[in-house]
Amino acid sequence: MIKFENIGLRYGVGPEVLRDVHFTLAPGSFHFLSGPSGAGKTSLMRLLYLGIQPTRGEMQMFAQNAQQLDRHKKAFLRQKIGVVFQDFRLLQHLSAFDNVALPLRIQGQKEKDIRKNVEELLKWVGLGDHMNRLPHTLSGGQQQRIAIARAVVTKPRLLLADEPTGNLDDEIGYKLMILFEQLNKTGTTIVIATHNEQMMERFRHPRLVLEDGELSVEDAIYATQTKKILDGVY
Amino acid sequence: MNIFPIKRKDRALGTSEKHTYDIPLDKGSGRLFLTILTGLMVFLMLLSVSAAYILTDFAQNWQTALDGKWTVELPVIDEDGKDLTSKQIEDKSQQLLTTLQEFHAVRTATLLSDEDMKELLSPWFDTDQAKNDNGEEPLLPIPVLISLDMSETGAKAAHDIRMEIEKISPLARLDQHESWLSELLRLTGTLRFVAVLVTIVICSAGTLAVAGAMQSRMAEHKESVELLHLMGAGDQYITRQFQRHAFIIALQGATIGLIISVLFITGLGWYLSGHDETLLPSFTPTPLFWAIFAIVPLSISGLCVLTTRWAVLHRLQKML
Repeated sequence: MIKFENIGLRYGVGPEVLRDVHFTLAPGSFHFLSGPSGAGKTSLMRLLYLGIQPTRGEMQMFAQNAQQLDRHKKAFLRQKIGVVFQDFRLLQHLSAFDNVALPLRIQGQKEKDIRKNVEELLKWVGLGDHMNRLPHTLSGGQQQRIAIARAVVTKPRLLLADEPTGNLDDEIGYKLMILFEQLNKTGTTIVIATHNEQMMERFRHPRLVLEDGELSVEDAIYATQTKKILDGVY
Repeated sequence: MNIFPIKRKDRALGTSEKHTYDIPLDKGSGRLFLTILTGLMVFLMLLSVSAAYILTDFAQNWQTALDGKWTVELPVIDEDGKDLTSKQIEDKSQQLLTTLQEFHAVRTATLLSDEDMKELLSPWFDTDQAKNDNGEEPLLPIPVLISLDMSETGAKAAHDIRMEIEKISPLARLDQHESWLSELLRLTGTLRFVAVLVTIVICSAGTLAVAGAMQSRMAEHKESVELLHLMGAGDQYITRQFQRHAFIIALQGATIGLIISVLFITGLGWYLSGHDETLLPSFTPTPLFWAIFAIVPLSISGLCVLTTRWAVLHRLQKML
């Protein structure tokens, strides 16, 4: 379970970008994180993948107080989290295969197992023929699929994705959402930050809505109804 | 299930090299700097260590060569400053020699021949000029020397010998070689200390430079390091990458430094091979000397790895 209580975040001496953020993510849940640009989505994602520390409040991650963990335990905790970054953050000197294999190597898995799992996953995301290609020789969509494969290869307990379908056409985006759904069914908690209303409509999951640094939680039906009201359907 | 159709494209295009580092450390501006730095460190250290080793060897040679060796010097003038005749010189020499040979603390006493004297003085004098036209009387008052191999070298033995030789010639003098040898040993000791000091300075400066270079490499690859952290890589995992990188570079630099040092020292040895061995004994490298040559590059590489470890861990502690 992930629990944020009265979380506040400010960078340096600037204003608070997140204020009194309070929510709970049950194990195996699936949430969209939405809100206008600059509302603090990326900051909240960074908090979730332990990239930054909140300036106040309490963060419980998998029954541990994330703020009180030492460096070693924090590293171990991060191994349970898969992240798809908006800008992919692939290592450009490594092949598609090695980029995806990286989290498994960090976890110290055997090279034989790594090869089997990574090859299987890359084939599954349609990059079986591009395993040895360097990221910069691949298209944006292909790079995004590598980033996604890297995030899911360890079968993480929490998957965070920042605009994961942003560079993909509708069909591939839909297929990737199916991949996330399948992963979710195996027990992985998923949070997807997105602006894509169409996608949120299609895959009905509760939404964490950030607006001006404050968070509200809407269930899927409520969110859909609100949207329809705003769109003038009712 | 394959949810995406595989499109066959040219496999060769953009194919990656073999996986080496998670962080692209082998591609960067600091690599050449570190190679040159370690090469220079090894070269300078081998020079100073060699100098210290050779000076120690020389000092030991001098000490061994003069251990238990005393010399009695008989000036070829009388108490009034008048030159002694050849006959007088020969008589006094023989008298001294006989006395010394019979002395209890003397193992052997040897009168240095004309040839021995010529050889001894040849670095300073044209010994042919030391004789007059007839070749009988010396133009320069070259003293007679009697070399002693002592079985006892204590103060009492020295005192007793002085008493005995004074009876034959009040001007005869016993030289135990202690004064100039101690000066020479003090000089070599100072030079060895300087060599050790230079070694320490090289190590300290090199350590600081490696630490600085590694911290700048950390800054250069900050994003990659952060990414590894976010994937759950511990400090040790990241540090190992930098350590491996530092070791390979240091070993390359050290090998270059070693080759240059061997060439330099061999060249220097060849250049000095014609020198007079009266003052400087010849130096033959021992297995220990070559062992030092093997140990220094490895030690420098090890030092680079330890410095890198410290610098990277120190920097990582400041990261989230």
